[in-house]
Amino acid sequence: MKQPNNYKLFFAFIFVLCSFSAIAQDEKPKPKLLLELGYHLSNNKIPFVSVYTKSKNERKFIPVPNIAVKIYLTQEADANLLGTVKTNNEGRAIVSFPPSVQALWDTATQFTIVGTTDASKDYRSISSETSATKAKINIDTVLVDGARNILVTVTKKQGKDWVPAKDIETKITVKRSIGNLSVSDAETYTTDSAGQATVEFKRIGIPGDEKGNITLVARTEDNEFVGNLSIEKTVPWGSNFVNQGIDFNRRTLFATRDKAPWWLLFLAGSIFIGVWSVIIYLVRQIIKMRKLGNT
Amino acid sequence: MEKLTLSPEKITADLVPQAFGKRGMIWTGCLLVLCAIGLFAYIRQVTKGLVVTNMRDYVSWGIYISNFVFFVAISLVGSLITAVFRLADVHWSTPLTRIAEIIAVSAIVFASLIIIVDMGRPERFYFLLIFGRIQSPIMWDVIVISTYFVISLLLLYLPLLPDIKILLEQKGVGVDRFQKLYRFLGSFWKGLDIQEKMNNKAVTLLCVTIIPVAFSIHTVTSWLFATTYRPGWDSTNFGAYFISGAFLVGAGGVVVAMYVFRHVYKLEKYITEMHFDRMGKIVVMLALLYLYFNVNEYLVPAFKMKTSEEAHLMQLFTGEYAPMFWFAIFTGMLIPIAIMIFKKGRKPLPMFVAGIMVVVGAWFKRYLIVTPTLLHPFLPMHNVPASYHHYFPSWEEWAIAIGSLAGAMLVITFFARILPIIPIHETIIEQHETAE
Repeated sequence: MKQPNNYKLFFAFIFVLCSFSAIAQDEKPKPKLLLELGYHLSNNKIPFVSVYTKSKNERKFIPVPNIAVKIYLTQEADANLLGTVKTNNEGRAIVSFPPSVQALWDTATQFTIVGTTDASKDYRSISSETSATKAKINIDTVLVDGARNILVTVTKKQGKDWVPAKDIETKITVKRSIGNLSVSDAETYTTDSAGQATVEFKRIGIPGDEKGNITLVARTEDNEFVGNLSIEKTVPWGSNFVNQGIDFNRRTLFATRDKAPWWLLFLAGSIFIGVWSVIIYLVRQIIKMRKLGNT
Repeated sequence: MEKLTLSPEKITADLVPQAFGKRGMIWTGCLLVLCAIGLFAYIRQVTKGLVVTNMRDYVSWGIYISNFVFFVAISLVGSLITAVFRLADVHWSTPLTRIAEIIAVSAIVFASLIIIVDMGRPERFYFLLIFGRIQSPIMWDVIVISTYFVISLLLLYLPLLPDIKILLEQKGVGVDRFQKLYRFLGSFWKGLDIQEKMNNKAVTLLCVTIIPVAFSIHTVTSWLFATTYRPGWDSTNFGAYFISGAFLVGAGGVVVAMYVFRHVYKLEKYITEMHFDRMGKIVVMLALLYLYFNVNEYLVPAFKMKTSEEAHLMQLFTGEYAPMFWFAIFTGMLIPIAIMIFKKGRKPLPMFVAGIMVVVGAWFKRYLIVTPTLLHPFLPMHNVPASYHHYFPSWEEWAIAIGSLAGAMLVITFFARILPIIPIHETIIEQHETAE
């Protein structure tokens, strides 16, 4: 019988090795999907739930887009469905409470939000939940010894009544263009037994709009009892914004391309037209010389 | 000018393009290999992104922009040798005009290409044209470079027309395979009086036009730096400083090319010791001028030694960049001056050595203008990776930069293979006039 030569044996070995390698890759465990839910109530209007899907990769959390998540109020049942959302490229989505759950919501004091995902080729199905007490936040302003004070009140529902919620950490800020600025020195303020936090407004002279209006914002952030509550109030405590006349609508060197200064357009245009007129003239001369030579 | 006593036939035979010999093939092969390595590195950069370079948040203009400034500088020589000398009625430079024009065209082509390389994704150049702001000096640079390229090309082409007629009449290994190209370029040139008149007028007009455009191209390039508020760049002198440096490196480049072409093509009768002597005097004058601007650029801020400038200046004078800085000053200016200021130093070989020193020194000088400044911003660098504090180009950057330099030399080589590197017609005419 003819013996297989060494080359054939070598390639057979490589083939088997590659096959094992491919099988080993197929058996790689699916990465774990993580689902984060957050309860939000803004200006005491319609509550909504924020959804964030992510996975852990090399000690970093990576957002996972395009994951369909079903959100329920209290428990996983069709009647309690708040909605089905698909996460965006940043792995985030929000769903507002629909009218269909209003009766259930009105009677609730403590509640749970449940989120579930179906299994896919990349991830196994998972579920997650978050609980909170039904609560409201209010903001008011008071004058104490001539000083402007901000009074924030957090109340929670107990039975049919709204009672003060104490020991709730709140942030009291002024809304700015890019972020929010604390109204005083401290970062956070905690409510007392009356559910109130009072802080003196120290941002005197902060620029407001043209009428001097600024927007105060009080909020709780990922609070373990009440979730994310926020409320805004506009007050005329800022200084009037005076337009200095420096904006990108003027024709300046730093404006957008369609607002170049006239003098620059004229200067650059004149030079460009002047030089390129000479070039066009010279090309015409070449064409003329060509015609002269060919006749 | 030394009197040539050669017949038109002899001049023509001497100056028509010659086929590559063994040395020419090896030279071209080496340049092609360097270009291919550069192209490979560029493909890597395009596919993987600018992360393959060592340019980061602070040094965002590295070796590519140094190379760009170098190419723009060397391209200015076309306007010096051809336009300035022609308008000043200087005839001894006739054998050097074509060399200068070829260098100018090839350098400006690669200046444009290296900018696109620096942009990372090449389609950004298209976006620059579509969305560019006329308020930006970058936009001015794009406009002026493309204009200068067209003018340089015309300045190469128009004086070439009478030579093309001569080439079409020639037969031989050197010109046979390019007859189609010659016919395309200038079969219409019959040497008619009216054609001569129109051509001379056009060349004069070009010479007048190219000087302000050439000044603009390098002034605008200097404004890319000077309009950015940074230590080392915040100068009102930058335009003149760049132009004087450009004339120096351009003249140095012509000296090197003169020697090489003279030696390889046996052109001793045409590019004589007189040419080297006169070019030597010009290079000394330009080196002194550039030295003067350097003293201005460094002495004045060093005298005041403002805190923001101090770190940058000390890095150049005594710090990390001191060896390169003093190398550039000595090699690019002082030693060439010392060589060429003496008559013996203005002989072909010492001039060739000095020319190479000028060009090499000039390249490093451009690197020093770009990089150390970027490493010394006005605001201190905080919370950045250690690598951001230093810059040394990656192999891809070196390969692309060297590939672009090789590419420019390859274009010069191909021009020299296809076209007469010394104007034949002008040489015959001038010899005729001198004989009379």
